[in-house]
Amino acid sequence: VKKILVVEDEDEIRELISFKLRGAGYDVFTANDGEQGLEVATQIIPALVIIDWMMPRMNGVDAVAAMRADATLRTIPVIMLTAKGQEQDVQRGFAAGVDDFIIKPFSPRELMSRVDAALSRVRR
Amino acid sequence: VNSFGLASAVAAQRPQLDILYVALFGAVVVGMSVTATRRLAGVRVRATRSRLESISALANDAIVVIDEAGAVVSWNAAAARMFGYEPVEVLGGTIWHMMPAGRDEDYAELFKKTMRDEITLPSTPVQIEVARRGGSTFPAELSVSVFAEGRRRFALVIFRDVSERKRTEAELRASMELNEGVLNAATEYSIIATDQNGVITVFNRGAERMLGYSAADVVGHKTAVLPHDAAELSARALELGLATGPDIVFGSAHEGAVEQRKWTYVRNDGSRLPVFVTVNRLVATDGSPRGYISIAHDLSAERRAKRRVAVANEAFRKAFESAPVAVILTRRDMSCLHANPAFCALTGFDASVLRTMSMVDLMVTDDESERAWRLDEFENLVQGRIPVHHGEIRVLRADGTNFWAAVHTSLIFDENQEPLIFITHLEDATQRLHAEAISRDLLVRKEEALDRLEELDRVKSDLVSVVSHELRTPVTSIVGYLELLTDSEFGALTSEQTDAVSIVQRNALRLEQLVADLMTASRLESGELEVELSEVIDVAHLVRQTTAAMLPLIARRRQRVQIEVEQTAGSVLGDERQLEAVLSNLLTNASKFTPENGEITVSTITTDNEVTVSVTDTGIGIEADELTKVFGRFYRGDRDEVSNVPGTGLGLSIVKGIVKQHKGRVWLESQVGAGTKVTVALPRLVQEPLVAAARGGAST
Repeated sequence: VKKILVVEDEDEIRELISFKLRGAGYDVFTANDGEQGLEVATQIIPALVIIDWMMPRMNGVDAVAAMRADATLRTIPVIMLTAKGQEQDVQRGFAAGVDDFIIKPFSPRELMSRVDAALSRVRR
Repeated sequence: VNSFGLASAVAAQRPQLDILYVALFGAVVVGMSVTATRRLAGVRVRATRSRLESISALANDAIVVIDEAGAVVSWNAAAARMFGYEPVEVLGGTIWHMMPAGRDEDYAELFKKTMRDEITLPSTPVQIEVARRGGSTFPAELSVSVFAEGRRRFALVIFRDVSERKRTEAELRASMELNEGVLNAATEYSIIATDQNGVITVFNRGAERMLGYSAADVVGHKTAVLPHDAAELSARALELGLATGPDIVFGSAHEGAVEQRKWTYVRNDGSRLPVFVTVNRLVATDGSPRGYISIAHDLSAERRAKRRVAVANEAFRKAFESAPVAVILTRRDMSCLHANPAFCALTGFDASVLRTMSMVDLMVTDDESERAWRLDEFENLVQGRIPVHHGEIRVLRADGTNFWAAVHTSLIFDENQEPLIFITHLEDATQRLHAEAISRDLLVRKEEALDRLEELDRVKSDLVSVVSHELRTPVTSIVGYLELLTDSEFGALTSEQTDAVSIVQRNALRLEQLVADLMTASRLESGELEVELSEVIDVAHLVRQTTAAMLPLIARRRQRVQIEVEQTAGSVLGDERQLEAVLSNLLTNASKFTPENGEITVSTITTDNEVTVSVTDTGIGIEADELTKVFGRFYRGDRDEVSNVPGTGLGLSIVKGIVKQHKGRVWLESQVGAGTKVTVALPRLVQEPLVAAARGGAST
């Protein structure tokens, strides 16, 4: 069973995503901010990370940058959730090592298909 | 006897007359026998006695006869006058005390030797200082002769008072020295004197300097016309009808008048200089002509200097008088010397009134420290510590009012570096100070406004942040959980539940759209949303695709859609997502403001330069006066039909913003109750073949 880490400071959204992922049969882990997310990721080495951009303490972009600097976390695919839909923000995210973006508000169904796509890219 | 050089020497005293006669005329009787001589002498003595007496009395020389023992035997009237002793005081006595002071013994000795023929008497008079009664001395010429009368020998001594002659000689010498000095001191003047024959007698240093000849070379030479320009001389000669020669130069001086004329002198190096020459005739005391003196001064330097000074003076006077800047000259004590018309105009004082005033009178201040500072500044100026004093003072006007003026004061020093004149420039600073105050005020207000704007900007970006994050986050939850509900993730819904959830969902989507519109409008406004005109967009494709996406919405209102897109509709450069937003906005509007069963037409027209897309509806239409207002942000018509339709009033402002970014135009045509046509015109991309190729690469 694949481990997926969800890093999101908003409880409802974190729960919504977790619910959907569990329903799809994934082993879901959660964290409330970037720092905690890095800790959990180091422990469980997830197959995929879904991470929000704007969070307290450490934001998503910084957390992703830290992951890409860590040998064990470097190759884990990352989907970023963001309310910041501007072109330059997206570019900043890609530069930090984000694999895909989902703009808030989003459809949980769409998120699931992006998750499947990201995992299949890794398999390939 | 002749050696005395006296033809008129006569003794004054009767007892000695015979002796004297013999002494005087002894030469006549030389060679005669003694008896014959005596007889003859006796006759002559008697014959001339009265005449000799009168001559001796009249003589101007002191005539004294002294016997072998040194006693005076004769003392005439002139001797009495000269020495101040009467005959009775002297006769029988000696004269040694009248000889030069302290030399009486020497003279007594000398006399004895003379009488013994031990010394030869000088053939010319000897000059000595003699003393008169009272001790005062005077120069005299002394002549001595010795003669014999029988066995007795006598000395004839004649004194001539030469003090007058000495004085004259000294005066003459001084006068000559003075002349010489004057001649040589007059270095700025050429002084050339000639004698009656034109031979140069004087050639002073001024002449040497001016003409380049040395006095040694020319004095004594007959070169009266030496420095003159030959052509000028000839011309003058012709004018006077004379032959060329010195007379031409001397002109009327020849008749005793003063001849003054401008001439041209030629230097020994051939160069020429203009001179002003004054010629005077020199005349001896007896009235006979002695020659001429020509005094010339160099006009060239003088002319140049004069012209320079005159021009400079005139230029400065004009500059001073016509300057638009107020200028006043004040003396060291600050009293006014002269003010230019601009100064008078500025202050209202007449120049003549100003001359009676002091600069201090013109300065209005009740601040003693300011006055003190100003005087300090003037002192600094006087001491040369600062070249110019700049400041602002209040200046008195003639009408008693005053004004602020900017002053610039400098100082002229005389040749001894003493301060001479202050030059003060005055500018009315009222306007400037006023303008400065205003601009200072404006600046403050501008800064305040900028601060406010910055604050507003900050508030706005905060707002955008709130909208984008705080609003999107709850919307995300709403939309997400609604989807879970409709997807029956929490069990199947009843039909009422499904209806209720779909109403919530529809409104959630509207909220989502509102958030998106607000974001877009805000970013367009702040210039944050920059459209990159990098994609090649096939307008026909764009129209079909966007309209198709909107069809469900339109269909819900039972409206019909007609798509009239040309087969050959052109391409444009732009941002496909943004242009999609434009078109969906227009279609949303058309649908919203068109009743059910209405018709919406989407059409394109391609011209050489533009591709236009029009959305036409059969809706409620827009009032003519609102046609432009509707593009403003948050503008909503106030008709019931409009206000009943939900919306933010952002749609058209976003459309306009995006179209503008694409360098296009957007406009409305409408008729209330009949419908509205909105048209977007975008610049056409003309490189069609490239377009197709680029499009394939750009569509991801």
